[in-house]
Amino acid sequence: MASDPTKSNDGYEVVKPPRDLRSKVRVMSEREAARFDPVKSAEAALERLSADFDSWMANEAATLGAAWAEIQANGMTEENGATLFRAAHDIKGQASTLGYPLVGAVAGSLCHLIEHVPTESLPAKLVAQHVDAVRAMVAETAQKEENPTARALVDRLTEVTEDFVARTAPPADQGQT
Amino acid sequence: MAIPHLDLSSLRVLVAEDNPHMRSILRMLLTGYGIRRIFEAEDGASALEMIGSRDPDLLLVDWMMPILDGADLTRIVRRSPEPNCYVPIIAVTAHTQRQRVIAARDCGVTEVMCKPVSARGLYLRIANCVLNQRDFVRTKGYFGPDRRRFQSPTFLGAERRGVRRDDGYTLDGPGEVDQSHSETNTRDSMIS
Repeated sequence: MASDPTKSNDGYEVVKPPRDLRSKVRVMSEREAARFDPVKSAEAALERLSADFDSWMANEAATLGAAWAEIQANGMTEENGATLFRAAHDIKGQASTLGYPLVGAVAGSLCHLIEHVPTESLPAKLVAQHVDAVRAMVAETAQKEENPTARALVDRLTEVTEDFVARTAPPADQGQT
Repeated sequence: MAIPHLDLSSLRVLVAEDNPHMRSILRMLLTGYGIRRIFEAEDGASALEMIGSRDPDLLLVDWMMPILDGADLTRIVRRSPEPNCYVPIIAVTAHTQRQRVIAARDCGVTEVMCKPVSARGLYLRIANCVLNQRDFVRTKGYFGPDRRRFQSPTFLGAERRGVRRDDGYTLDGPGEVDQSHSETNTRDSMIS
Protein backbone atom coordinates (compact mmCIF):
# COMPACT_ATOMS: atom_id res chain seq x y z
CA MET A 1 0.00 0.00 0.00
CA ALA A 2 1.42 3.38 -0.93
CA SER A 3 1.66 5.88 1.86
CA ASP A 4 0.30 9.30 1.09
CA PRO A 5 2.25 12.20 2.46
CA THR A 6 0.08 13.79 5.09
CA LYS A 7 1.87 17.10 4.91
CA SER A 8 4.28 18.35 2.38
CA ASN A 9 6.11 21.55 1.89
CA ASP A 10 8.95 22.72 -0.30
CA GLY A 11 11.53 20.00 0.08
CA TYR A 12 10.22 17.68 2.73
CA GLU A 13 7.25 15.49 3.40
CA VAL A 14 5.76 13.80 6.39
CA VAL A 15 4.51 10.28 5.75
CA LYS A 16 2.28 8.02 7.83
CA PRO A 17 3.70 4.48 8.02
CA PRO A 18 1.30 2.18 6.16
CA ARG A 19 1.23 -0.44 8.92
CA ASP A 20 -0.46 0.63 12.14
CA LEU A 21 1.27 -1.49 14.76
CA ARG A 22 -1.40 -0.70 17.34
CA SER A 23 -3.64 -3.09 15.44
CA LYS A 24 -1.19 -5.91 16.26
CA VAL A 25 -1.15 -5.43 20.00
CA ARG A 26 -3.77 -5.18 22.70
CA VAL A 27 -3.74 -3.49 26.09
CA MET A 28 -4.60 -6.20 28.60
CA SER A 29 -7.64 -5.99 30.78
CA GLU A 30 -7.04 -5.40 34.48
CA ARG A 31 -7.76 -9.05 35.13
CA GLU A 32 -5.24 -10.20 32.51
CA ALA A 33 -2.68 -7.67 33.68
CA ALA A 34 -2.98 -8.97 37.22
CA ARG A 35 -2.03 -12.42 35.97
CA PHE A 36 0.74 -11.46 33.53
CA ASP A 37 3.30 -8.69 33.84
CA PRO A 38 5.49 -8.70 30.70
CA VAL A 39 8.47 -7.10 32.44
CA LYS A 40 8.38 -9.44 35.44
CA SER A 41 7.90 -12.37 33.10
CA ALA A 42 10.96 -11.33 31.09
CA GLU A 43 13.00 -10.84 34.27
CA ALA A 44 12.01 -14.33 35.38
CA ALA A 45 12.98 -15.72 31.96
CA LEU A 46 16.37 -14.05 32.23
CA GLU A 47 16.80 -15.44 35.72
CA ARG A 48 16.21 -18.93 34.36
CA LEU A 49 18.88 -18.31 31.75
CA SER A 50 21.36 -17.06 34.36
CA ALA A 51 22.60 -20.55 35.16
CA ASP A 52 24.62 -20.27 31.94
CA PHE A 53 26.00 -16.80 32.58
CA ASP A 54 29.29 -17.84 34.22
CA SER A 55 30.22 -20.06 31.29
CA TRP A 56 29.18 -17.38 28.80
CA MET A 57 31.36 -14.85 30.60
CA ALA A 58 34.25 -17.33 30.51
CA ASN A 59 33.71 -17.72 26.75
CA GLU A 60 33.77 -13.97 26.24
CA ALA A 61 36.96 -13.65 28.30
CA ALA A 62 38.55 -16.44 26.26
CA THR A 63 37.57 -14.69 23.02
CA LEU A 64 39.23 -11.51 24.26
CA GLY A 65 42.34 -13.46 25.28
CA ALA A 66 42.53 -15.18 21.89
CA ALA A 67 42.20 -11.86 20.06
CA TRP A 68 45.07 -10.42 22.10
CA ALA A 69 47.21 -13.55 21.64
CA GLU A 70 46.78 -13.23 17.87
CA ILE A 71 48.01 -9.64 18.01
CA GLN A 72 50.98 -10.57 20.17
CA ALA A 73 51.94 -13.35 17.77
CA ASN A 74 51.50 -11.50 14.47
CA GLY A 75 51.48 -7.81 15.26
CA MET A 76 48.48 -5.54 15.15
CA THR A 77 46.62 -5.16 11.88
CA GLU A 78 43.41 -3.36 11.11
CA GLU A 79 41.58 -6.67 11.11
CA ASN A 80 42.89 -8.20 14.32
CA GLY A 81 42.71 -4.80 16.04
CA ALA A 82 39.02 -4.65 15.13
CA THR A 83 38.54 -8.17 16.47
CA LEU A 84 40.12 -7.18 19.78
CA PHE A 85 37.95 -4.08 20.01
CA ARG A 86 34.81 -6.05 19.19
CA ALA A 87 35.61 -8.63 21.86
CA ALA A 88 36.14 -5.90 24.45
CA HIS A 89 33.02 -4.07 23.29
CA ASP A 90 30.91 -7.23 23.59
CA ILE A 91 32.09 -7.69 27.16
CA LYS A 92 31.48 -4.04 27.95
CA GLY A 93 27.88 -4.41 26.77
CA GLN A 94 27.08 -7.79 28.29
CA ALA A 95 29.06 -8.10 31.49
CA SER A 96 26.53 -6.32 33.72
CA THR A 97 23.68 -8.45 32.39
CA LEU A 98 25.78 -11.55 32.98
CA GLY A 99 26.46 -10.47 36.56
CA TYR A 100 29.99 -9.09 36.14
CA PRO A 101 29.69 -5.27 36.23
CA LEU A 102 33.33 -4.70 37.18
CA VAL A 103 34.52 -6.82 34.26
CA GLY A 104 32.35 -4.60 32.07
CA ALA A 105 34.15 -1.56 33.48
CA VAL A 106 37.57 -3.03 32.62
CA ALA A 107 36.38 -3.86 29.11
CA GLY A 108 34.98 -0.33 28.77
CA SER A 109 38.36 1.07 29.73
CA LEU A 110 40.04 -1.13 27.11
CA CYS A 111 37.56 0.06 24.46
CA HIS A 112 38.33 3.64 25.45
CA LEU A 113 42.05 2.98 25.05
CA ILE A 114 41.80 1.22 21.68
CA GLU A 115 39.36 3.71 20.22
CA HIS A 116 41.17 6.87 21.20
CA VAL A 117 44.83 5.99 20.90
CA PRO A 118 46.39 5.56 17.45
CA THR A 119 47.25 1.92 16.74
CA GLU A 120 50.98 2.58 16.53
CA SER A 121 50.93 4.22 19.98
CA LEU A 122 48.79 1.59 21.68
CA PRO A 123 50.67 0.52 24.84
CA ALA A 124 50.96 -3.27 24.69
CA LYS A 125 51.58 -3.56 28.42
CA LEU A 126 48.44 -1.64 29.34
CA VAL A 127 46.33 -3.61 26.84
CA ALA A 128 47.73 -6.85 28.29
CA GLN A 129 46.89 -5.67 31.82
CA HIS A 130 43.27 -5.10 30.78
CA VAL A 131 43.04 -8.51 29.13
CA ASP A 132 44.64 -10.22 32.14
CA ALA A 133 42.34 -8.36 34.52
CA VAL A 134 39.24 -9.51 32.61
CA ARG A 135 40.44 -13.10 32.61
CA ALA A 136 41.42 -13.05 36.28
CA MET A 137 38.17 -11.45 37.44
CA VAL A 138 36.10 -13.95 35.46
CA ALA A 139 38.22 -16.86 36.70
CA GLU A 140 37.73 -15.65 40.27
CA THR A 141 34.02 -14.95 39.62
CA ALA A 142 34.54 -11.42 40.91
CA GLN A 143 30.91 -10.44 40.52
CA LYS A 144 30.23 -8.14 43.43
CA GLU A 145 30.89 -4.45 42.87
CA GLU A 146 32.11 -4.27 46.47
CA ASN A 147 34.92 -6.78 45.82
CA PRO A 148 37.86 -4.67 47.07
CA THR A 149 40.58 -6.25 44.94
CA ALA A 150 38.55 -6.10 41.74
CA ARG A 151 37.38 -2.56 42.54
CA ALA A 152 40.98 -1.41 43.09
CA LEU A 153 42.04 -3.05 39.82
CA VAL A 154 39.24 -1.34 37.87
CA ASP A 155 39.97 2.05 39.42
CA ARG A 156 43.69 1.81 38.73
CA LEU A 157 43.30 0.61 35.13
CA THR A 158 40.72 3.29 34.43
CA GLU A 159 42.95 5.97 35.93
CA VAL A 160 46.06 4.91 34.02
CA THR A 161 44.09 4.58 30.78
CA GLU A 162 42.48 7.99 31.10
CA ASP A 163 45.85 9.52 31.82
CA PHE A 164 47.40 7.78 28.81
CA VAL A 165 44.55 8.80 26.51
CA ALA A 166 44.79 12.40 27.73
CA ARG A 167 48.50 12.46 26.88
CA THR A 168 48.26 10.61 23.56
CA ALA A 169 44.93 11.12 21.85
CA PRO A 170 43.99 14.31 20.02
CA PRO A 171 41.99 16.62 22.35
CA ALA A 172 38.80 16.26 20.31
CA ASP A 173 38.95 12.48 20.50
CA GLN A 174 39.01 11.76 24.20
CA GLY A 175 35.37 11.14 25.08
CA GLN A 176 34.14 7.96 26.70
CA THR A 177 33.06 5.27 24.26
CA MET B 1 5.97 5.79 34.84
CA ALA B 2 3.17 3.22 34.65
CA ILE B 3 3.89 0.60 32.04
CA PRO B 4 0.91 -0.66 30.06
CA HIS B 5 0.63 -4.42 30.03
CA LEU B 6 0.43 -5.32 26.37
CA ASP B 7 -0.45 -8.51 24.59
CA LEU B 8 2.45 -8.60 22.12
CA SER B 9 1.87 -12.17 20.97
CA SER B 10 1.05 -11.16 17.37
CA LEU B 11 4.17 -9.08 16.94
CA ARG B 12 6.93 -10.35 14.63
CA VAL B 13 10.40 -9.32 15.76
CA LEU B 14 13.73 -9.75 14.01
CA VAL B 15 16.89 -9.69 16.12
CA ALA B 16 20.12 -8.86 14.25
CA GLU B 17 22.99 -9.60 16.63
CA ASP B 18 26.29 -11.33 15.92
CA ASN B 19 27.05 -12.32 19.51
CA PRO B 20 25.28 -15.60 20.37
CA HIS B 21 25.04 -14.82 24.08
CA MET B 22 23.46 -11.44 23.53
CA ARG B 23 21.14 -13.00 20.97
CA SER B 24 19.99 -15.52 23.58
CA ILE B 25 19.43 -12.76 26.14
CA LEU B 26 17.33 -10.73 23.71
CA ARG B 27 15.35 -13.77 22.62
CA MET B 28 14.66 -14.69 26.23
CA LEU B 29 13.46 -11.17 27.04
CA LEU B 30 11.19 -11.09 23.98
CA THR B 31 9.80 -14.51 24.82
CA GLY B 32 9.18 -13.28 28.36
CA TYR B 33 7.11 -10.38 27.01
CA GLY B 34 4.91 -12.95 25.28
CA ILE B 35 6.25 -12.44 21.75
CA ARG B 36 6.06 -15.73 19.87
CA ARG B 37 7.49 -15.00 16.46
CA ILE B 38 11.12 -14.11 16.91
CA PHE B 39 13.57 -14.36 14.03
CA GLU B 40 17.31 -14.23 14.49
CA ALA B 41 20.04 -13.04 12.14
CA GLU B 42 23.73 -13.43 12.92
CA ASP B 43 24.79 -10.52 10.76
CA GLY B 44 23.47 -7.54 8.87
CA ALA B 45 23.34 -9.30 5.51
CA SER B 46 21.21 -12.15 6.87
CA ALA B 47 19.00 -9.59 8.56
CA LEU B 48 18.39 -7.85 5.24
CA GLU B 49 17.35 -11.12 3.65
CA MET B 50 15.03 -11.93 6.56
CA ILE B 51 13.39 -8.53 6.46
CA GLY B 52 12.19 -9.46 2.98
CA SER B 53 11.20 -13.03 3.77
CA ARG B 54 9.87 -12.76 7.35
CA ASP B 55 8.12 -9.40 7.21
CA PRO B 56 8.99 -8.33 10.77
CA ASP B 57 7.04 -5.61 12.58
CA LEU B 58 10.09 -4.54 14.54
CA LEU B 59 13.87 -4.85 14.32
CA LEU B 60 16.34 -5.09 17.20
CA VAL B 61 19.72 -4.24 15.72
CA ASP B 62 23.09 -4.58 17.38
CA TRP B 63 25.00 -1.46 16.44
CA MET B 64 28.38 -3.13 16.21
CA MET B 65 28.41 -6.10 13.87
CA PRO B 66 31.17 -7.11 11.48
CA ILE B 67 30.93 -6.26 7.77
CA LEU B 68 27.45 -4.71 7.77
CA ASP B 69 26.98 -2.88 11.06
CA GLY B 70 23.85 -1.45 12.60
CA ALA B 71 24.28 1.94 10.97
CA ASP B 72 24.73 0.40 7.51
CA LEU B 73 21.77 -1.90 8.03
CA THR B 74 19.55 0.96 9.17
CA ARG B 75 20.48 3.11 6.17
CA ILE B 76 19.78 0.25 3.75
CA VAL B 77 16.43 -0.51 5.38
CA ARG B 78 15.39 3.13 5.21
CA ARG B 79 16.27 3.19 1.48
CA SER B 80 14.40 -0.05 0.77
CA PRO B 81 10.96 -0.18 -0.90
CA GLU B 82 7.71 0.16 1.03
CA PRO B 83 6.60 -1.11 3.44
CA ASN B 84 9.93 -2.36 4.80
CA CYS B 85 11.45 1.10 4.92
CA TYR B 86 9.02 2.04 7.71
CA VAL B 87 9.84 -0.81 10.07
CA PRO B 88 10.69 0.50 13.55
CA ILE B 89 14.33 -0.12 14.48
CA ILE B 90 15.64 -0.33 18.01
CA ALA B 91 19.42 0.06 18.05
CA VAL B 92 21.07 -1.96 20.81
CA THR B 93 24.48 -0.59 21.63
CA ALA B 94 27.23 -0.57 24.22
CA HIS B 95 28.14 2.93 23.07
CA THR B 96 26.75 5.24 25.70
CA GLN B 97 28.20 8.54 24.55
CA ARG B 98 25.43 11.01 23.72
CA GLN B 99 26.87 11.90 20.33
CA ARG B 100 26.80 8.22 19.37
CA VAL B 101 23.13 8.01 20.30
CA ILE B 102 22.39 11.09 18.22
CA ALA B 103 24.35 9.65 15.28
CA ALA B 104 22.27 6.47 15.49
CA ARG B 105 19.09 8.51 15.50
CA ASP B 106 20.30 10.43 12.46
CA CYS B 107 20.73 7.11 10.59
CA GLY B 108 16.98 6.57 11.01
CA VAL B 109 16.63 4.40 14.11
CA THR B 110 13.42 4.68 16.09
CA GLU B 111 14.79 3.99 19.55
CA VAL B 112 18.19 3.47 21.13
CA MET B 113 18.72 0.87 23.84
CA CYS B 114 22.05 1.35 25.57
CA LYS B 115 23.53 -1.76 27.14
CA PRO B 116 23.28 -3.20 29.70
CA VAL B 117 19.88 -4.25 28.48
CA SER B 118 17.16 -4.43 31.12
CA ALA B 119 13.78 -6.12 30.83
CA ARG B 120 12.02 -2.87 31.66
CA GLY B 121 14.15 -0.70 29.37
CA LEU B 122 13.64 -2.88 26.32
CA TYR B 123 9.93 -3.33 27.01
CA LEU B 124 9.44 0.45 27.26
CA ARG B 125 11.10 0.96 23.91
CA ILE B 126 9.07 -1.75 22.22
CA ALA B 127 5.87 -0.34 23.73
CA ASN B 128 6.84 3.11 22.54
CA CYS B 129 7.48 1.87 18.98
CA VAL B 130 4.08 0.20 18.91
CA LEU B 131 1.84 2.62 20.79
CA ASN B 132 3.45 5.90 19.74
CA GLN B 133 4.30 5.08 16.15
CA ARG B 134 5.85 8.16 14.68
CA ASP B 135 5.34 9.69 11.28
CA PHE B 136 8.27 9.48 8.89
CA VAL B 137 10.03 12.48 7.45
CA ARG B 138 11.60 12.55 4.01
CA THR B 139 14.06 15.34 3.24
CA LYS B 140 17.02 15.66 0.93
CA GLY B 141 19.33 14.32 3.61
CA TYR B 142 17.14 12.11 5.78
CA PHE B 143 14.42 9.51 5.67
CA GLY B 144 13.27 8.02 8.93
CA PRO B 145 11.08 8.51 11.98
CA ASP B 146 10.33 12.11 12.83
CA ARG B 147 13.11 13.09 15.20
CA ARG B 148 10.90 15.79 16.68
CA ARG B 149 9.12 13.60 19.14
CA PHE B 150 8.24 16.51 21.36
CA GLN B 151 7.30 19.96 20.14
CA SER B 152 8.88 22.16 22.75
CA PRO B 153 8.06 25.89 22.47
CA THR B 154 11.29 26.65 24.30
CA PHE B 155 13.49 24.62 21.93
CA LEU B 156 16.88 26.30 21.48
CA GLY B 157 18.79 23.68 19.48
CA ALA B 158 19.83 23.62 15.86
CA GLU B 159 17.03 24.03 13.33
CA ARG B 160 17.75 20.85 11.44
CA ARG B 161 15.17 21.31 8.71
CA GLY B 162 16.51 24.69 7.74
CA VAL B 163 14.76 28.04 8.10
CA ARG B 164 11.88 28.00 10.53
CA ARG B 165 8.55 28.79 8.88
CA ASP B 166 5.42 30.32 10.27
CA ASP B 167 3.44 27.12 9.93
CA GLY B 168 5.80 25.34 12.31
CA TYR B 169 7.42 23.26 9.59
CA THR B 170 10.78 23.97 8.10
CA LEU B 171 12.98 22.97 5.21
CA ASP B 172 15.99 20.77 5.20
CA GLY B 173 19.05 20.11 3.14
CA PRO B 174 22.35 18.45 3.94
CA GLY B 175 24.20 21.73 3.67
CA GLU B 176 21.81 23.39 6.07
CA VAL B 177 22.22 20.85 8.82
CA ASP B 178 24.95 21.77 11.25
CA GLN B 179 25.65 18.48 13.01
CA SER B 180 28.01 20.12 15.43
CA HIS B 181 25.00 21.65 17.16
CA SER B 182 23.11 18.38 17.36
CA GLU B 183 23.95 17.81 20.98
CA THR B 184 21.91 20.83 21.96
CA ASN B 185 18.78 19.24 20.52
CA THR B 186 16.69 18.30 23.53
CA ARG B 187 14.05 16.58 21.45
CA ASP B 188 16.03 13.45 20.97
CA SER B 189 14.65 10.03 20.34
CA MET B 190 15.48 8.43 23.65
CA ILE B 191 12.95 7.63 26.27
CA SER B 192 14.12 7.67 29.82
